[in-house]
Amino acid sequence: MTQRPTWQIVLRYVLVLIVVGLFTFPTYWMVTMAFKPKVEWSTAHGTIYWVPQNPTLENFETVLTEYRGKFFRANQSSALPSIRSSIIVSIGGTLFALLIGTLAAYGLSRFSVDTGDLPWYIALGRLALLILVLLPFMVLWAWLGIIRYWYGILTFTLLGIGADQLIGRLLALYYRGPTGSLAFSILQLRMFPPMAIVIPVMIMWSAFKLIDTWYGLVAVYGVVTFPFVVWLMKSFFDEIPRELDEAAIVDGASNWGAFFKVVLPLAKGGLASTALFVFILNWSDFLIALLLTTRDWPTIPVFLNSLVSSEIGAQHGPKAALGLLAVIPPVVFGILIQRYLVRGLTFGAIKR
Amino acid sequence: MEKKPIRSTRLSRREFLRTAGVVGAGLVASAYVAPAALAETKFDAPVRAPAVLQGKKPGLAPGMIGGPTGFEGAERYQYGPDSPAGRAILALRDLPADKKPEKLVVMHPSGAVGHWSVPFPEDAPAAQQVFEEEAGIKLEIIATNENEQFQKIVQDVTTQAGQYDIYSFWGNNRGTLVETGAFLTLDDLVAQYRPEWEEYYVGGQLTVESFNRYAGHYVCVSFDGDYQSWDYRIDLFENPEEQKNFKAKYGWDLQWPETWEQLDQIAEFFTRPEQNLLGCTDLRNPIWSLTNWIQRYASFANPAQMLFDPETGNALINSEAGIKATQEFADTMKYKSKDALSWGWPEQYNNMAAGGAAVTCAYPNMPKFLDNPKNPDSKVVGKLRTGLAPGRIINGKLIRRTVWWPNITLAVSSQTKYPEAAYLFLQWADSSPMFTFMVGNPAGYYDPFQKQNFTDPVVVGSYHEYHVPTMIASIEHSVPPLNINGASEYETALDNNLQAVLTGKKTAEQAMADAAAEWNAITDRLGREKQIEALKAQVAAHSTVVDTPTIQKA
Amino acid sequence: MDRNVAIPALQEEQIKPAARLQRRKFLDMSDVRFFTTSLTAPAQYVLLFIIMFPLLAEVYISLTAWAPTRGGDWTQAYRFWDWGRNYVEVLRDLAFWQALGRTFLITGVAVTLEFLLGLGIAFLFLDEFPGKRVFYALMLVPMMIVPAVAGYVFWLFFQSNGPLNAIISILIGQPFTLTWLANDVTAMIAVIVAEVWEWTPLMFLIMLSGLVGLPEDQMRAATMLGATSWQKFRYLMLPMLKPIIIIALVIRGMEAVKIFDMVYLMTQGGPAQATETISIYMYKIAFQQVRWSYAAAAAMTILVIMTILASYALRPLQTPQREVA
Repeated sequence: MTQRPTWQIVLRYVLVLIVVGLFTFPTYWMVTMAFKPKVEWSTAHGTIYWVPQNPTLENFETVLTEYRGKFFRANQSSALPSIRSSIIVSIGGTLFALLIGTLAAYGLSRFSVDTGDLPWYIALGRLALLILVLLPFMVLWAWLGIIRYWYGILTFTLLGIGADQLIGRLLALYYRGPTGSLAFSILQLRMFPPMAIVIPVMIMWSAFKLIDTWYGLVAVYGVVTFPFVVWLMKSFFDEIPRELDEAAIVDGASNWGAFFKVVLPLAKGGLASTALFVFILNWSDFLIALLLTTRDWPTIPVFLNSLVSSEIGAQHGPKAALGLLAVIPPVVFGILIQRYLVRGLTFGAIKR
Repeated sequence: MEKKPIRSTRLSRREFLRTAGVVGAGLVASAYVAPAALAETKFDAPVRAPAVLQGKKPGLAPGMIGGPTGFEGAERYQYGPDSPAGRAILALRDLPADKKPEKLVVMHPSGAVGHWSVPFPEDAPAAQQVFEEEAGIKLEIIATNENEQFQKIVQDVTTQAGQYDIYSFWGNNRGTLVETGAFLTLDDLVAQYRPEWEEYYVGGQLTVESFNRYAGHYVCVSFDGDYQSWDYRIDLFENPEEQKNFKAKYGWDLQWPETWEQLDQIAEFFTRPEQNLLGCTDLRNPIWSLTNWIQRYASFANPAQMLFDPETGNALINSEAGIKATQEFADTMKYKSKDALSWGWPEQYNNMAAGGAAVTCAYPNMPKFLDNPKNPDSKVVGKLRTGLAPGRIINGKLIRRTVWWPNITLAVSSQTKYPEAAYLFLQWADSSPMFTFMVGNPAGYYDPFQKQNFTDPVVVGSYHEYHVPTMIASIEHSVPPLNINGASEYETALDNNLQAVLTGKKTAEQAMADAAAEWNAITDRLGREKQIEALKAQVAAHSTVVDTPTIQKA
Repeated sequence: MDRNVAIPALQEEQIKPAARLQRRKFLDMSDVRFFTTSLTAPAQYVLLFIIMFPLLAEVYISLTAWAPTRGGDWTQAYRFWDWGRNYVEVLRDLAFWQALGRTFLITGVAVTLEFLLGLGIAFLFLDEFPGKRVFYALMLVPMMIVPAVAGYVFWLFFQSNGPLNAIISILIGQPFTLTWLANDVTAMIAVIVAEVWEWTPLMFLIMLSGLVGLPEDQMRAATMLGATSWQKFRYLMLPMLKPIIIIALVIRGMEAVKIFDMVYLMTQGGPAQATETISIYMYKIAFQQVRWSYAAAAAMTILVIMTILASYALRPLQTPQREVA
């Protein structure tokens, strides 16, 4: 490699320092806030403590222990259950999404015509048809009064799935080209803000008694992130030439064998990066957890939001402490899969 | 760049899965072990087994059948059989087995749970303990983020989840929640068990109407007295230099003012940013600042300037009164912090505690927290006094009005399986002796509003002697805030327009015209007839007290 | 069956499309169909199962004038049947369109900045220098911080006597006390800054792996032929990076449109709606004003709009369609 002139090296170093410094400063602020005693929190008096004068662990203590009132600190529960909840739910959601998503991605990559990216008029047309067909049933179910119970929702859903398949067949008769299915039309809903459907999901979940349970939350997280998994993993699978599958099959492996023993190991990098992104998405989620949990399973962001109440207003120190603790699992996860990361991130776009 | 050879696939999948599995298992396991080792996961005060006490509890004064015991002055909080609390406890004990739950699930704002779980004074039993012993019913108090109470109730009702026996909420959401069908109507239970609220609430029926009734029915029970009261720095007001300069400039003696004009003069006098002193820091941030607008607005008419016309349901805010109030609201920004638009009450309290303001308007608990020697952050200990909201002189009469907001209120869920037990709990907890017992506790933010509260030495000790007349006067001079159905929509509409005026985007006239138009549209959408019904019922909640002005200009 | 298979490195270019199609016939068709179904079925049915009811319930509610304040039972909503009135109201609702516009504005600005910064920083990290690993790790940290926490930290940051103003004061030598969160424009800037801070590391990561993957020999050849850095960048690197740039922009864009946590914790959409994104708007309608049928109609409208947009946004990414056998 050609040697760069010294001033360029120095300049680069200076720039790196500035840039990294800028990006690290908010983190630094959060970290120092976590160790500041209460007097140093507020910047309202005009003094800013750049470095904690009297670093203390009391914020961590506040946030991690069940607090039983002294003066000025109303009751406060520990953050540990929320940490536990976040870990379980994020890992569960990631595994669930990876499981169904990777399989589907492989299928799309190797065998299917539909990439899921349909022209919008097809996607919406199919959706409109489905709604047209099912809406009377919804009203009927409501009028019968059964829609509020789990069996009503279940029967309605099965009816809906059946209707969807029928519509698919029907469309295939008249329209040449990809018609996808409702599911893959929904891949286009990746841009859809969760806020929009979270209310009916909440209703449905409570009919199935899934509110405030970890499996209920895992199911929603899995569904919300699974399109992302499909899309990413498909591009990783596309990068792996299918000759390898075929070679394996010619050598005597079954279809599943070819997948698990040949293709999947090659996509390790992709799997790792996808897992990391999905985990971070789940870990950061606030709105869904806010609406689907009540007492027992709030996740860290939801719990954080509730550290506001008492007289002193927002508790800056404990919030920062919890924020600091919340950084650890994603970082740990990242470190664990680090060696797979860089290789996996080109999404098949760069031809080597 | 050299291409790396693709690695051997043998064992690599297994290896990866194994690592992932181990890591995952490790994380999950540690997540379980850690909480178990370090903390309980549910909120529970230390409680002895709630066996119902047979016979008389030791420590009770003669004639009393219940109440906290075992510390000095306990008799003040005890009650006899023929009192609301006594009736409640006796009824609770006598409930047949199918109507008596093992526990009651009570939603409660997390900032007020301390009243129940923390003993005060130190050697007294916690209020929760007292109830559990006497009634034989456990209390599961769910500490809930204040901002989420409303949403959780709506969730609970629409999903028919029935997770709570008792809801807590801000009183101004009363109308909306009643319309969702979340609350059990309490008329029959009130008639049967007679809580006698009008007897022992300050302001009597006025306060009961304002707090516990809606559209002609009893629907909830107030546990708070969030009447906005004004606090000022007596050390500044009694400083001879200041007094001299003030009188020279404005022509009247420096004292707690009676009119808004006088208040604004004081604010102007004390706005000294170079000395880190602000004149008057009543809030101007979204939603929370509405109380300050309403105070200025309501005092424009005798006995009170209403928000709606109770006969037609039309909004009255685009009147002269509304425009003037809005103008003043915006003009007084110069006496506040530059961040006033994003200052919430934490910032306000912290600023006052640090001595950064001469006057402010806050909850009645400001003296309790700031004028407290045990508060390490407060620099204004001993320097605070309080006063009633200023008003206007109309035809020679002084009309002063303040407003309560938001106010912790509790109600019985319409889905509860134990309506009597839940209601009786509320009657007991809100009764004069028990509420007085709880309200002095600094671990939570209930504020006093009952007669006994203001004569109790512990409460008065917490809130200070000088504050009692202010609080009583505030209650008697009050109007209710927006609390009919759709309150939050009306609030948002008004608030958006007021904020537009504060940021200079609209004039006062324009803002009020727009707000009134939005209000009328909302009223129509929600059903004008229903709104009129609720408005008519609320007329009785508006104070009619009229005073005589005393401050003379030299 | 254990296999120790060392797979030779095959270049994708070596396999011509026709050859690919030919080879497909190797596999037994009925076997394939079953296999395919079992691959995609779990995903499809899980998704269908979970989406079916909420979607229809949403449509149902949106066609009525029901709200929880009309009696909390949504199943009886048909009593307030209203046909399309909610939709008409949504289309005429200025606040809705403004919120949508704001969301796209924030997304556009933020994602562009993230991309440019990410690319620039990736260039800085291309060569080795002492401490690179440490700086690399530090650069990735913002991505790992929960957006809810980040929103809160930045709220502290942008207070008028917070650290940001303090730093600026030091830099310009005069006290600087701008009230970032109280002013429309600066609040928007604050939100964008927070968003950019949080997600630039992601772009940085992607761009870096893209740059690292560029064929070194071609770069060297260009330099030897006398190309300047700029020419190298514009005519050689950029075209090669294009697919990855598009992917990165689309990934980030799709997520940015949903922004909620940070804005909610920093400004709650304020001051007076200046930073109200579409998610916040819907949250307020649904949970503060409790107008669920209106919120449902708004949600369905968004669904349609986003589908159309996604379709165009994703077009550059479409892999060439393979023919059905």
